[in-house]
Amino acid sequence: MSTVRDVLASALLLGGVFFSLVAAIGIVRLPDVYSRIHASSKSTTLGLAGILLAVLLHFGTYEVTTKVLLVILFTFLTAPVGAHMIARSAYVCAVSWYAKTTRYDLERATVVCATRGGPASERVHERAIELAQERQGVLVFLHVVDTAELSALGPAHASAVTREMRTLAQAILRTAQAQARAAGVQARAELREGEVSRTLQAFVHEVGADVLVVGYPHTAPGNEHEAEGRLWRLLGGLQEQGNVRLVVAR
Amino acid sequence: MTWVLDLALGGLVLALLLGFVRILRGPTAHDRVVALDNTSSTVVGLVGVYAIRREQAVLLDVLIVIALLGFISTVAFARYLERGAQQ
Repeated sequence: MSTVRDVLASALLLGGVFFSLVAAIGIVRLPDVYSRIHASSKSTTLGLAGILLAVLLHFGTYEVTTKVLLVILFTFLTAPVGAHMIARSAYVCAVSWYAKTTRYDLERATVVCATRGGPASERVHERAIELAQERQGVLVFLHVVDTAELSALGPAHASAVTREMRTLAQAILRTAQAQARAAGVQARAELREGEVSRTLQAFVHEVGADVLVVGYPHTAPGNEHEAEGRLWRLLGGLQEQGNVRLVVAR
Repeated sequence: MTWVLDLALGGLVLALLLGFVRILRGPTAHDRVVALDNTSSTVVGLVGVYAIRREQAVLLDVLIVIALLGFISTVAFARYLERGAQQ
């Protein structure tokens, strides 16, 4: 009887020590706070439970059993709470996470930057890059080749002009990407054709963008009213839906 | 049985040392708090094994106190760091 109990206690003890060691190795080896919390809280609880059950089996008196069961209950209640609190605190303090983290459920940010090219766009790109860095997001540069105005030209002429515009757009997007790369952000570039406002809105839905960065329209001083109107027409339906944050960079 | 206990003690001491490595290396205060929390749990296990080894059931009272202190200190540190971030 006693030997059976001893063997059982030994097995529980060694199992518990194994899990405690796994937790410690995880704490040293894992790359960021959040994964270390994950390693520590889970396997420590299990390891401690194993060791304490071994203690329970070894002594086996009422007094010891009560105390040990209390401690096990206590750890099972407090370990998750403690882990949650410290993870929350780390998140609030903006402790950075492992660079290769791919899933981010709290604030998954896709930043779309609509660019027109030209010297004024540089500031718009800058703002978009900043936002992407701030929210650890995905940055997408979008340029829409406006084909709506071309229908007045003949079909052959229109296609030649479109080809030219496409080449230009690719150069603009490459410049934007280079700017992002210089700031240490990987950016995707997308080229679309069509009526600007509608295409922009369709794209925002397509990629599930959280933030849309656009530039303030070109305008002469004193002509702000007209510029506002153009911006309003451009963003149109996006403003009503409200799940996309609009950033107008000047 | 004794060799099992010694092995367990050795394993827990190793876990403790690994926890100390993380406490020393950081890099953030949160890493240190997590390692400290883990250390306190390991010490609870260590005291449990030691109680068996010495046949001293009295030591289990120590175990309750350490478990309590570990939790309270983790929560206190978390609150403290969070407060610091908000100011």
